Amino acid sequence: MLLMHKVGFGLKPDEDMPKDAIGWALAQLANKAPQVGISRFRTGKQQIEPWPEEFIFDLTTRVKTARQLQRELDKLDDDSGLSSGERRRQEQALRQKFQPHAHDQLTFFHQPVFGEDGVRQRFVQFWMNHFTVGANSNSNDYAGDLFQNVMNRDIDGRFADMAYNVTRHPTMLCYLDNIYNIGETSEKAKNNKKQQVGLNDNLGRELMELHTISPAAGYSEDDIRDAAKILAGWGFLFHKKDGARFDRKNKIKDYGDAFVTYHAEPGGKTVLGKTYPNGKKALRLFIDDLAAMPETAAHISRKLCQHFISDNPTDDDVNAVIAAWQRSDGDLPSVHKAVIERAALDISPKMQWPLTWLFTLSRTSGGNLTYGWDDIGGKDPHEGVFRPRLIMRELGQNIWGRRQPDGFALDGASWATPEHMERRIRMASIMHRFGNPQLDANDMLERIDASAMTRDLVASTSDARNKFIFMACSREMMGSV
Amino acid sequence: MITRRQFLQSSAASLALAGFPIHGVTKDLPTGNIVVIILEGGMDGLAAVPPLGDPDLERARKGLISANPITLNPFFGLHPSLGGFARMLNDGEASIVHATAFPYTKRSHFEGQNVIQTGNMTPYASKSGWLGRSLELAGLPGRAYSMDMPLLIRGEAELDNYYPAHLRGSIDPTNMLTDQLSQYHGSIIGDAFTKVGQKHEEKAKFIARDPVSLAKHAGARLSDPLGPSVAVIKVSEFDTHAGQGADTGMHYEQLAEVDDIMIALKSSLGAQFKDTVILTLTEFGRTVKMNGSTGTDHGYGSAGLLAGGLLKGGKVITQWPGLGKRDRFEERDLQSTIDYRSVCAACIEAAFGLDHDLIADKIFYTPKLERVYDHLFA
Repeated sequence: MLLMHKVGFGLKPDEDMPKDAIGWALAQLANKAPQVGISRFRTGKQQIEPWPEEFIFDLTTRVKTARQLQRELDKLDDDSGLSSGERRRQEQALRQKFQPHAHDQLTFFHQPVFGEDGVRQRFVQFWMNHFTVGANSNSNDYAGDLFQNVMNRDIDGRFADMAYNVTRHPTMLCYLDNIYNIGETSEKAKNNKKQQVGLNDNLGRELMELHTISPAAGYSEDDIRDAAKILAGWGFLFHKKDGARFDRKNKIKDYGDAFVTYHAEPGGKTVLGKTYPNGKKALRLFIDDLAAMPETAAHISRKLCQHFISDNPTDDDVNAVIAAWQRSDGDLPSVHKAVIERAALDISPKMQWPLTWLFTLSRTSGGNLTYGWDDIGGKDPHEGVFRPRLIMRELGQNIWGRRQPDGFALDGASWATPEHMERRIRMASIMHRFGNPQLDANDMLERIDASAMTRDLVASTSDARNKFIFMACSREMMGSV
Repeated sequence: MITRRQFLQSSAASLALAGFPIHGVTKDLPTGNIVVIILEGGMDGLAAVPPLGDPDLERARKGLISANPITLNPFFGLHPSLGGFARMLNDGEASIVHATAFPYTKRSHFEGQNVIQTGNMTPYASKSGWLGRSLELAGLPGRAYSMDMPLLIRGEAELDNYYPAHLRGSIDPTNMLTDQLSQYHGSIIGDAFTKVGQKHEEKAKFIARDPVSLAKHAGARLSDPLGPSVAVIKVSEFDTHAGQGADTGMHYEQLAEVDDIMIALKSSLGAQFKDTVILTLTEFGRTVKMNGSTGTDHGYGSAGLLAGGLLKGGKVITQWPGLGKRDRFEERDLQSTIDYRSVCAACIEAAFGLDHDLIADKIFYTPKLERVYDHLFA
């Protein structure tokens, strides 16, 4: 039961308690489950349906949508007859019309609660945090594709593949400014005497510092600079204000693989003593090398243990995960299996992120506080029901907002502040009053295998709502010591 | 490009208040207040305070120099976004320290932000902040108002946080709930619930989330002698790797915000402004030259902007290293010739009356830290 909360989102009210917890977890991890959710918030039991195809946006659709929105906004800019109030209203109406990210945020809330791949999604969320992206340029237009299609797919393969696909995804390339990273002796630089162009080392730095080897590997500023040179050319601009005229010369067919030679730095590059050839191939080779370095396995294995097992994982835990990494050459299912097995051995609870707590509370009690996909664009469908964006902001995990690239803290202690505890009481009260949980506090006590102390706490009040709040804030539900 | 309005909606500005005196613990009420404005991302000191008299400026900073700087003296100017700050300089209520930094040179945001808050030059070595430890030394445990308590003010002292919730339809946590939960949990979570209970004994007012409103609120609270003596305001988005601009652009919007914050603080502090020192804090400066995307990358030396009545102000305090290639740190960044920890130490000395040697040893773990108090406050 502890394992189900440590690595998953717990069991729905009608799910049977599995006899083999590890087997259950591994099955969920491997489950390429369909995307599901609800079309509308309903009072009473929610009706779970497959996520509509029309709201699963591929990259090409996202780029076209973003371009169209930009064209419409440009028209507004050109129309000088509008008052500022009217302009604001029209801009808002346009943005409401073109908003893949609203659906992206909703599926992010629905899948853990209504889907059948909770453990898998827990690991996807770990990788979403490891490769943190946030709002910059129009990164949010593409972020859903990164999470749902790239990470949710590559979690079945090798780390090197995920790292490569994430690094060259337009969300990452926008977020860390790589779309403005231009080779100093590139064609663009040579043709642009008026506008200064050159390298931007933001992504190159974070690729090594945060995503792979970490500062423990002792890379130099020159290494970072050459990493930036390898990355120059990856990414596309689409607004003519950014100088997107290159598009005519370099037709992009696959927006997840957009390398623009016009921007690239010619010549070989050297990072950490290894040389890389001119051209597009270099990035794949570079990331393969970074992925293979022992510092990467060490760095990420520790983070995995810190997130899933304990704020202070033992050396045995970390070494077991590193060993699985090295044995399998970074095969993520093998690595994740090691994490799950170690988590099963560790009987101490682990306090999770606020969002994880909320998804678990929702799933296990059968309650729900979010919209359905048909509710998007209208008023709040019901009192106590919120847009995902508001909940994420209130819980301090604004995933689509302005982010620092090092992501959310992995240790539970960082989230154990009075402000976050107050939020839990509030959210539990709303869940009870408006979220229509199918199980009340006493039913939940059975489901979470509550201790005597927790039962006493819940029994100490006769008010149903307060019982629910106590249950939601129990050690078992919060994963706290 | 994100519009300013979109940015403000998702702005990460935050306020934390601390250093409340507590009956039975605090021996003397503090004489002064400290406000730290954390500039997240690396503030470009050369853009904020351009060295107009430096012969290498034009060449080195092509594309990044404002067309209309405010002239402070024959050598230094000020970016036009900092008009309010300029007036304070003129009135002797502000000073600038230039070519200064914490001696951290690895240019990593998250290591840098950790070091400038902990005051420990080894990243992640400390779970408390230099200001938090100062408050402990000064006998001022207290409460903070923000969503996530900044490391800068964490210490062994009882510090919690508060930020009004927007969850309509939710209940206000009752004493019964918080008492029971804090007894049930014990340890840090129990403490957290206790503080939720304590905080709700005060009346919870809605505080707007934009930086200027936060600053006004901070000033009002600081001006209460029984209220907090420390405020920490965080302003983000200084990490302008792309499209920094020279007069307009994100960096200068943020400087304008800092200027607005300073003006708001001065006004809301009222009579207490004379007993206050405000200082900026940033993890590093930025490269002297522009990068490939008309922005700047991470650097080293930067400038510190200080204000408040405690200062003997109107000065630019610096040992100017020069902008020529060989004068720069690693041939790319402004050199740092003043350890910014000394500036922080001087502010603690001025506001709380602690002894410099004690501060150097116990707060910055550097017994030989230079004392620059006289340049700023005497």
